[in-house]
Amino acid sequence: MDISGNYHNLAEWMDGSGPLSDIVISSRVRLARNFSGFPFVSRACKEKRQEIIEFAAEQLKMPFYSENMVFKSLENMLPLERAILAERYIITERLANDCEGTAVVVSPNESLSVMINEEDHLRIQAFSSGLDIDSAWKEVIGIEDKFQEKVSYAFSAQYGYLTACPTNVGTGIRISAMLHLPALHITKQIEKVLNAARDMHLAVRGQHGEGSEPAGDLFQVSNQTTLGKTEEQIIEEITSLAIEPIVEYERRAREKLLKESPVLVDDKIYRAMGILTNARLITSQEAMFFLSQLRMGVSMGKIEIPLRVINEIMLLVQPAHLQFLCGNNLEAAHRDQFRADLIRQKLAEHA
Amino acid sequence: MKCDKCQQNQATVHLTEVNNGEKVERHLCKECASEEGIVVKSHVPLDKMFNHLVDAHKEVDKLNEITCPDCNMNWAEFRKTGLLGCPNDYDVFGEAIEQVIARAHEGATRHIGRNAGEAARSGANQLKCMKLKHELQRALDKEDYEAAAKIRDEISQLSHTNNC
Repeated sequence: MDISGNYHNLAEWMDGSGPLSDIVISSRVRLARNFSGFPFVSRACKEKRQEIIEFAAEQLKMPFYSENMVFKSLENMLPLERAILAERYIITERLANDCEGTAVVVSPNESLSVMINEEDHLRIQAFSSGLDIDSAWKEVIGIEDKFQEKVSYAFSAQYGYLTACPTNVGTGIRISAMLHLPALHITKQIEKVLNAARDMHLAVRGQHGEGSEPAGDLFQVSNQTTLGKTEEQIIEEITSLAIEPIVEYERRAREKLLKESPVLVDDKIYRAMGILTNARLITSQEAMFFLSQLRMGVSMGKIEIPLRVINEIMLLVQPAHLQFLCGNNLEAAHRDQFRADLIRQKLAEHA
Repeated sequence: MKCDKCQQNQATVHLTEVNNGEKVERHLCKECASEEGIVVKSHVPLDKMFNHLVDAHKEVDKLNEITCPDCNMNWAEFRKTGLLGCPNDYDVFGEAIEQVIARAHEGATRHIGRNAGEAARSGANQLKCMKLKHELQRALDKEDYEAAAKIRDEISQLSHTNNC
């Protein structure tokens, strides 16, 4: 078994472009769908799951084909590649670990993917760079329209699209934005802001969703209510009531820092640059900590490195990517060395 | 302590009022208090409280007896995992699942998003069709061929209007 994809670079949708991309790294729209006539995934035995995969592959092959999407069985994939896919957000960490009778279908530029047999039969998701939920929504709905012509979904007149977990029922839509909030962290306002978001029925999580620790000041904000509102209302609400205000808070925190403690800000940024360009051993946690401050320095115009490069390093220093790039199984100490070398090399190319 | 007002009944309502910065304590019986427009929250007598408790348990027991004929999911298992077993569970668990949904979605219990109108009809048909297929199986198991023939007719009628 070999690694089937090319994971040396960043996907386009993480390239640091798009609206508000100094703070909003990316936007995601995900739809949960289930076929009628099958049990939900948790109740489907191994054979049934296989049947669901085959049904999806057969019924949806034309829509997949028209988007040049590639079908990959997760069960028949190296654990390392599954871990890479999770780091690239193509699949969830849960799917990477529990992959029996599961599959994923991915578009060439990775902006569109469909998980099969995650919690629901289908999790259709699209990504875009910066705060651009509309593009992701259009991409998801483009393919979902084609799906609707081919299959019949579990749907009820009252509850809409039926999902394995009642918390996703109705539209089945989950809108997320990945936010980079270093200044709110430094000024100790992050908890306050995130608690306010939670009060608004939003979920705030670490970089890799449910159960993940925030690293590199990256936070994922997403809606929790999926019923009783139209998809457009949900998109509009999370954008104007949550994401845009949080971006504004982060911006104000940055301005305040620059005005009141300019030396402190410079110290953090240049110290981060110093360590990242000189360290010979660096852990993943330390790397993310300093990359976050470096990214803030780039956004503030203090250091000239494309945001794309910082986003890319943040991805490539993750454990699975690192192991893939290195080409063999690394022990912890060697991993830290390889990571430090990689960061120095990437920064030297662009600084 | 006797009621301040009627001086007869036992005072059960104890008030502390502040008039012009001066603290005044008043002790009234229930009747006099209600005459003054003071609403007294009455406590549920113990025996009734016990009945409520038993009723609540009965509700849960009743709920625990329900099992989905399609996927064998029961309420206790759903509460443990948070996941339903098949689309039919939304029907099977009726009001109980509606309450769970309302709590999760800011009180909402009705879909108004994509396909709320169009697919709703075919969705309802799908559910009906699934139910009919189960009834058909049951009729065949019981060798009630007359009933089975009727159900089969209904299914074929539905499938003309919908791909169920």
